[in-house]
Amino acid sequence: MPGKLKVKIVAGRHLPVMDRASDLTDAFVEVKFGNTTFKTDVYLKSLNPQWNSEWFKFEVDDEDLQDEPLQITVLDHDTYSANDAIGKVYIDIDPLLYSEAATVISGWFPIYDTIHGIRGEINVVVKVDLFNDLNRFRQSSCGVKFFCTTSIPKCYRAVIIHGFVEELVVNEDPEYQWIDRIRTPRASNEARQRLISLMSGELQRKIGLKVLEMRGNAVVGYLQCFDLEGESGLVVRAIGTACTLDKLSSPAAFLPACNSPSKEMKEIPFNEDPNPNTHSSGPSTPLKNQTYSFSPSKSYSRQSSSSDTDLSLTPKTGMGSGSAGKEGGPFKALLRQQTQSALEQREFPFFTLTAFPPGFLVHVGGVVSARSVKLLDRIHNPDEPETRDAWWAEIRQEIKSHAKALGCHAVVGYSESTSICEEVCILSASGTAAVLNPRFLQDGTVEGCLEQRLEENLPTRCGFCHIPYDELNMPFPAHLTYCYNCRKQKVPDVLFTTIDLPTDATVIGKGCLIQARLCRLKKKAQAEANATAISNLLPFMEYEVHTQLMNKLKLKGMNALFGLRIQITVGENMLMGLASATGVYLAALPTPGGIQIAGKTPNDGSYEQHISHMQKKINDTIAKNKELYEINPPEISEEIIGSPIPEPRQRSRLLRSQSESSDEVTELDLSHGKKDAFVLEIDDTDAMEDVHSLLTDVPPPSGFYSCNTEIMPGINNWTSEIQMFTSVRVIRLSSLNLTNQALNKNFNDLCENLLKSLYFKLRSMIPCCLCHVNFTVSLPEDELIQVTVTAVAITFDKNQALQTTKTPVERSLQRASTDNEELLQFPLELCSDSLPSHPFPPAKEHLESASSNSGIPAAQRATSVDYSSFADRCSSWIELIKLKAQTIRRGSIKTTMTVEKASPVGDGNFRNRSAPPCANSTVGVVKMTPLSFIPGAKITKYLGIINMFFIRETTSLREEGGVSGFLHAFIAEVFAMVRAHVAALGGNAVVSYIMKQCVFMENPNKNQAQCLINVSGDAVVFVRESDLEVVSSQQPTTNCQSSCTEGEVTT
Amino acid sequence: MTSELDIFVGNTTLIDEDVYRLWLDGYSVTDAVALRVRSGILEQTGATAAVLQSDTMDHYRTFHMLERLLHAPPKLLHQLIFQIPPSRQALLIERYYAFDEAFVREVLGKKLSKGTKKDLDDISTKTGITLKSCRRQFDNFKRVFKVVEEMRGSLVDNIQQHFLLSDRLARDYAAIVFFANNRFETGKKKLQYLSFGDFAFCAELMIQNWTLGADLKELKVLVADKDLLDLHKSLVCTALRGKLGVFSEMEANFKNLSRGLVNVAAKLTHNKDVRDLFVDLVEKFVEPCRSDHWPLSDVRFFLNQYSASVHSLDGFRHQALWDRYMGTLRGCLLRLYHD
Repeated sequence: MPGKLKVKIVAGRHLPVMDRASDLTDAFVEVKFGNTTFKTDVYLKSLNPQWNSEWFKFEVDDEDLQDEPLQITVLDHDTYSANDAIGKVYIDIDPLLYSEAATVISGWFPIYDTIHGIRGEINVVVKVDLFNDLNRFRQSSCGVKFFCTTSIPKCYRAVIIHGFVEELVVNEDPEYQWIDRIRTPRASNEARQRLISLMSGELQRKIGLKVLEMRGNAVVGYLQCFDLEGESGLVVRAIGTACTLDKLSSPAAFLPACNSPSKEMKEIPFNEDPNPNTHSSGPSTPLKNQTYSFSPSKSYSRQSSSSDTDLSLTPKTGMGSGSAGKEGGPFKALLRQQTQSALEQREFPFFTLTAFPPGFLVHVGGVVSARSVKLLDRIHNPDEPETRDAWWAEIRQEIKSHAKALGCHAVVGYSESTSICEEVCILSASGTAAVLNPRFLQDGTVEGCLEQRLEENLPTRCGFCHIPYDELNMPFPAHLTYCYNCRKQKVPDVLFTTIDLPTDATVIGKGCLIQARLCRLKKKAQAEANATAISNLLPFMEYEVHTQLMNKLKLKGMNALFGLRIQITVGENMLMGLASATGVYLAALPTPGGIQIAGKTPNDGSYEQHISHMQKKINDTIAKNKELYEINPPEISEEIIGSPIPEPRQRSRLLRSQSESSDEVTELDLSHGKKDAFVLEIDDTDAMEDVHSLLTDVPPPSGFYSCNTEIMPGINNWTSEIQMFTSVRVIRLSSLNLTNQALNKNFNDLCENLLKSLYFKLRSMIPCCLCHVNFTVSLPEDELIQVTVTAVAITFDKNQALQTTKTPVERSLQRASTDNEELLQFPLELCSDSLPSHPFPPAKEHLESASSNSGIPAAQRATSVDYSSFADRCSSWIELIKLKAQTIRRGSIKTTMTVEKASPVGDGNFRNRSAPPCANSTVGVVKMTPLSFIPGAKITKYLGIINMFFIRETTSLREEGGVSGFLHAFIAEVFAMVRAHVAALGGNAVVSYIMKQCVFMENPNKNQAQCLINVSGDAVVFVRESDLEVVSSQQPTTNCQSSCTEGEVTT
Repeated sequence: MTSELDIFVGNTTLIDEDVYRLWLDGYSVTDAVALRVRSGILEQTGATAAVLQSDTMDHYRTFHMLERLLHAPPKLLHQLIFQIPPSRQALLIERYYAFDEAFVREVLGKKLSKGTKKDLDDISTKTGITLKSCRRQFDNFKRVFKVVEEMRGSLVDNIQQHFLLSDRLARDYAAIVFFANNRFETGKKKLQYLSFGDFAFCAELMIQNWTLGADLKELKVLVADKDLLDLHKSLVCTALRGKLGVFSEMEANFKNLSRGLVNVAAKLTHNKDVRDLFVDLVEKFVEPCRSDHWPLSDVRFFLNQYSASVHSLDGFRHQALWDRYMGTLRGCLLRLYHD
């Protein structure tokens, strides 16, 4: 009996009138956990009842504590008939289960009803007493921390990054059970909400078990999703990156369990062939697996079993019981050997992280992605997870082999998604193939790490751009040059990635949001015919999305994409593709050439004129964009850089043909001097349309920037005003003669208009940047397209000089004070010692998947890099590292209170604060942001993960203001419930907030609508830097003292 | 391509003051968009009409959802659905309860009942204020009236506590409630020259200084007793001789004026007659003086002396009552005495 849950119901307020006669309510509360229910007294005739109940105590297993939500139901007592439910509150008590997070949940929660929405509030206090028994045969994974944040959380240090964890659970969807025909919509919705809450809890517990098994204590980059498969079931699946994290404030950096990689060895099974090359013939088209046969190739999927019985059969000792000291020298050799091949041995060397400590990421190969079309009605045993496990394993295997083909042993920025329409499901996975620092850490100790880093070539700011693959045996045709930064290594002309821009990357100018949008009509079909049709369309879509991205990137005068996310959505009669990324100009990569238009019929005079007119327009646009985004790389003569590596010149065409066309070698000599131009061949009206559409993307109004990454390249002087928002639009297509062109135009207009609206609405925040702009497309019905956008607008100070004006030393020192402790000592537990040089399959095969690998060639131009400044940077960097190493050797004490960025402008102009306090306002402000940080503030505590699922339904759509009124109110309510939960945990913000699902269905004829929303994020406590300064004047002294004492002990 | 659904929800609720004003003024979305276009916003921001339409719709929807909370402003402060900075909350409330001068003049002193609501159509036509806005303003009056009607304690304090209005606006509402409660006639043609401010000023004086049940009939002796009246007149005339530009007119009119002022007091004891207070004041005092072209300074001199001289009337025993009555009345009359 390892836990006691205690709940107290204090009061209610603003309750709805339940008795029309008296205009009052006789309310009482049912508190339910598992199968135990308690009730409060009835508080007669009040809309603001004061129950002030006793403590209701539930004695429960910690397994239940993890799985079950606390369910609070507010009812109206009725003597003669059944009691009427007013609404419910579900409280996830997981944050109370680990020591560093919240200790009590206490506050006002909105009372939610799936039919009526929020109906008043209830004040609840929840506590948990946990009895630890570590040697217990564990089914629970209490104590494992979960973070949605896709980087190492701000107040932690990564001791070890263990790697990929995933899990998937399946259940029958209550909406499709026979009983649903006789129960009320409310009962059905509540059954669904409860089930998903239970499944999420179970999933999290199981993932936690895997983390414990890997000797980790946390999951970072945790992403949980729902698949509403309909008849075949309801799937909840999650992926994440297991880590061993160390809280920065505690000086105990050397947890025995954490730096005992010898333990790790036992964990890694001496592998029985982890990658059976059953079906992989290299990274060919992602559509390879249009398999409707359900290959039971589950053999290689150790982790993808969700039954977990296998795990539970081996009793584990609790974490923290490792014994590093004993297993010393003799193990080391073996250990090294082990780590060398560890990443390869690992089933899936994937990382859901998108940001890394400097130096961790050695090289980036490019984007790898895989898709597969499946039929849901063909699942043999829909209630069991095996089939879906096998599907995902298949896709992951493909991703892995794609990465290998790029000479990479790992995939970072990894994510998975699905799109379901009736019985067809498209599974997608994507990430960035990468080489991680092979010698970064072998011992897992901090000292070792730093010494090694001093020995080896220091990681340079351009290092991640250098190609990881063999240049003589390239996986795809790419145009290589010597790095414009270090001049030593080869770099591609264009780099696509799914990760955030590394913080130490040198960027010229500012970045911008780049989107590719595409629709394809498809015939309505059933089952296999449908799946085949979709499978046949997918490669063309991928190819065109890729071409569009490339064109738009060139048009912006940029050479790299970060945060690339390609979403393919399937509908009844069409497929939609939407790719978003943040374009930047990386100083290490060559200057992109222009876009050259080539006509098909060169003899026609007027046609030629038209072409040249278009060419002029394109050139003008490029010039304008360069100015807009301040892209002015220094010019340099080509001799210094050396001639480009000879390579067959490539062209990419806007041609509706097979994707293999990218493979063709151009016969056109455009005699563009030494510079290759990116050629657009206009050979039909389609291509013409495309060129036009290229030019219709309107840049944001002045004062606005936008990106879909965490930070906007080129802007770093944020002020503290932030506004997170969600915007949803649904358009109805006129069904008359829909063509692909019309469809594309509609979709394009939809997205552009949406962006325009956002710029208009947020105009009062100028100068500002829309960060983490996240578009999702869905096709709820035949002629409906739904686009949902969540982003955050952050103001910045235009006048304050950019931080780049600081000298490199200052910059490094600044980083040293903040990032270093958190990030530098960053052992990757499993690394291979040398760069793996895998034999590449013939290039042809890779070319088919131009869409899955990135790096389509383009033109280049010489640029110069300031050598002296670079040298400066290097030397200061070395000094910094030395400095750091010394301090750490001495005492390993961190001064965590250092202010990241003192912003004198900060709060003064912040409206919330400068406002005169209105009379007794009791509701505290809770900030929400999709970013992992809050500008001008420091996160001091992570309180736990927020993962909420809501259903709202109405049978009086018109009365609630139509679909817009209905959804507007619902989303506002969801925000309110998230804020209330965070506030009750003692937090004042949600970071890494994401709306993972917003499924909207309407039936205007019946005056009905239903919507499902799933959101998640990390609840945190933050402190404004301006407030911190006051505190920090005291803080360092204490830190200093402790450092001194520590120093005495060690010397 | 038509937009089926189009929404924007911010974690901090976006409030556009200009759109809020248009909404409060009762404009339809279409009219509001047209007005915004005319304001030149498209040129300033480079937005399109479609963007403006979508933005206006969003704001209107938000205001519509907020309206329920604005009916009980403390709810707006405690609710969790909309995260609104306190200064913005105050602005929302203040603007929602603000009213048009033209409108309030029409309903001031009228019974705040459904019957009157039917007249809103006419008021809307007459004042040019949209019917929607008239409804909101009328409902605000009625709501505040109903909440504070039965309450004890200071009217202004009660209003401020329950509606979180600024001091200025709470005072105005106190006047409206006071007028509605006493059903003062304000609509007669001869009262048209008076502004809401004039009435509110009088209301405040009356609320502060007058209490129910005072036996104002006792004052009647001042005009009923001929000796007393003559004595009073001679005292006033002696004091003002040579100091008043309109002395002869005053001397000629003294008895009429005094009768008028004292009779008003007597009428205040009858609920039915209270309604005519302002009509009487204007008819019996303001108009006679105005027709003789009394300057305001002379009116002040006269009223001061008229009020003070009573202290020298030995036969009169209700000095305190008289002071309270005249103190307020003098204030009111001076305010009401203008063109």
